[in-house]
Amino acid sequence: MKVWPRLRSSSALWGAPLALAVTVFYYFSVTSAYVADESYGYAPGIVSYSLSSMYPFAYAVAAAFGSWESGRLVRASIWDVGPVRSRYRVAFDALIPVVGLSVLMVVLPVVLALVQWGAYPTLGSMRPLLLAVALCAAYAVLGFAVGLWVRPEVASPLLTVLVYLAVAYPVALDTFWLRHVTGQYPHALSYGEVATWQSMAAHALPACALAGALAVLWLPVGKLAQRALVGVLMVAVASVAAWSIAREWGPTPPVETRAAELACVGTRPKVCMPKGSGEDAGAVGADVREVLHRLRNVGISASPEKVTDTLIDGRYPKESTDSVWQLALTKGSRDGLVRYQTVRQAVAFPCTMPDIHASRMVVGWAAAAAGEQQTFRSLLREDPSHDAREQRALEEAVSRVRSRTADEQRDWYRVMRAKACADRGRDS
Amino acid sequence: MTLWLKTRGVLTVMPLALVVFTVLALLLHDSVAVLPSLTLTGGTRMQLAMFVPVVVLVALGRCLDARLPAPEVSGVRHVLWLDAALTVVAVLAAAAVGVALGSVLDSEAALVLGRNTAFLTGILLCGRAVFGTVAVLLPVLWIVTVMLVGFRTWTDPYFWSVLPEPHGEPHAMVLAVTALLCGILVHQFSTRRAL
Repeated sequence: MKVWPRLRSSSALWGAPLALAVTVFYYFSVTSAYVADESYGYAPGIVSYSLSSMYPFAYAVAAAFGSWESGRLVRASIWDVGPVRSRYRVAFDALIPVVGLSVLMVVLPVVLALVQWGAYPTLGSMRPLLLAVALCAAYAVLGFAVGLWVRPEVASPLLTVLVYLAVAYPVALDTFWLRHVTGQYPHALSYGEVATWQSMAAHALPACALAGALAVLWLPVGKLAQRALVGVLMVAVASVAAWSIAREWGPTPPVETRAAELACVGTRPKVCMPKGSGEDAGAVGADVREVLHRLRNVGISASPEKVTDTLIDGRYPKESTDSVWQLALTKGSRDGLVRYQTVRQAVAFPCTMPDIHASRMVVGWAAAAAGEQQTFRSLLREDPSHDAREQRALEEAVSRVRSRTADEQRDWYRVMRAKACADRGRDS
Repeated sequence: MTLWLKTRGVLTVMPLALVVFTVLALLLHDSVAVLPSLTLTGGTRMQLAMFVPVVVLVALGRCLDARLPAPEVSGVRHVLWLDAALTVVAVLAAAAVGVALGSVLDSEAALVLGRNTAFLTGILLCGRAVFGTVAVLLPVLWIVTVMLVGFRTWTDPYFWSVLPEPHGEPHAMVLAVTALLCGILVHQFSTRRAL
């Protein structure tokens, strides 16, 4: 059978404009903005986020049109032509356009995002897409099987709603394992994170086993009861397997971290940033070194061996130590905050909640020493409880300290830093 | 009448659909899901009860599809008026279930089930004149549209979306009844006899 006639007779053709319109509109009105702000050109993040809302749409379309196609085959008595053509072949021919449409619904946003932000796909980043493609095929088979038993006018609207809700709803439930087995990867990967094969397996197993079991029912081997038994066993084993993989997971699945490669430049400190994030590590390193030099001149002891970008640690950044600093360099470089971040880390307080006035004095003084008064001022302006009068008082106090001799300033810094943490838990 | 009941499969399909409708309404009456939206960044908060009328609509579509074209066109019996009666009875039954559940469970989402069923039935019947059998997908499409673009904020739907409006909202009621009447009229006078 030729490609075009097959396509023209398929329900996927009249479904395509709507399905693809939803896909494209969703990409440009929701996904695109997030990818621009949060992905830093990191392919696994781009792929996982572009897909996150498209899974249920694609699966619902696959199931609905799958049932429509099998209904047509039954009505035209093609399904009953028996040994003339293999039933698998008949089903395969009918499902190709349906699977093609639903796969397009998940591939399109991924391609759009990768092209729009100039990121290259990596092998690890393709795992959620692979999952989505596999489950599109599985749901098409599921829909096809239902359409053989139930009229398509009944089956396809019900399947649309059922599949959509079954995939999209569990994310809102407190039974966490449920959201890890539905086929919707529930997590937008941060920089440095990659989805694990275990979570892919947990998502794929139930639906694929169901589709496999239904396909087994068509096998011309053994009695129907035997085939049904095999099918039920398949579904049961796969569901239990998926449950045992995901049963102890929280709301977000475990991920592989530190998947991004770091490139380090310079010495004392060595500045490490992920490759391909679009920011210049050399310029960042120069900023950091200059600020550190100015801070050391006023007596702040800040000489890390290495400054590392927290971006690659995903959502659980490591703690800084005296010799290795963890700073959000890429984000800071994008927002023009690298110099201020360096100041902030150099005067880091030994407690988590320092006294607000003392700490503002210290940070303001150090920022002034590094030439970052402007940044400090604009950040303080975002605090609604901090008004212009307080700001003036703070700046006057800081400039009084700055007018003292170098030794006095050094002593003042030591005293103020200790004072900021007096009576506070020394817990960090 | 008996022949019509048998041909349409009214007595087998409709009661089953109403039972499923009742069970689903009972299970889902106040469940809320946050679903994807084009107009709201955080997604839409959708009452799952909004999807429940689909069961009755599918059954209604199935009944109206089961025809004997030649005898029906010959026009001895007033089959189309029987169809209209079936539609009205199905919607009223759904509304009764909704009102009963809504007042027993004190559930806003169940109270509006009847109105939503009426509105979506109107869409179904109008669509059948144009698209034929495939029109059963139109109410689902309407629900998806409401989900994607029907809300200004989480609690404030656009007037045309009808389904998420609260109980007793006059314009939603008027739109629902108008849609149902239009649907029935279109069904009476549409020239498309062979679906």
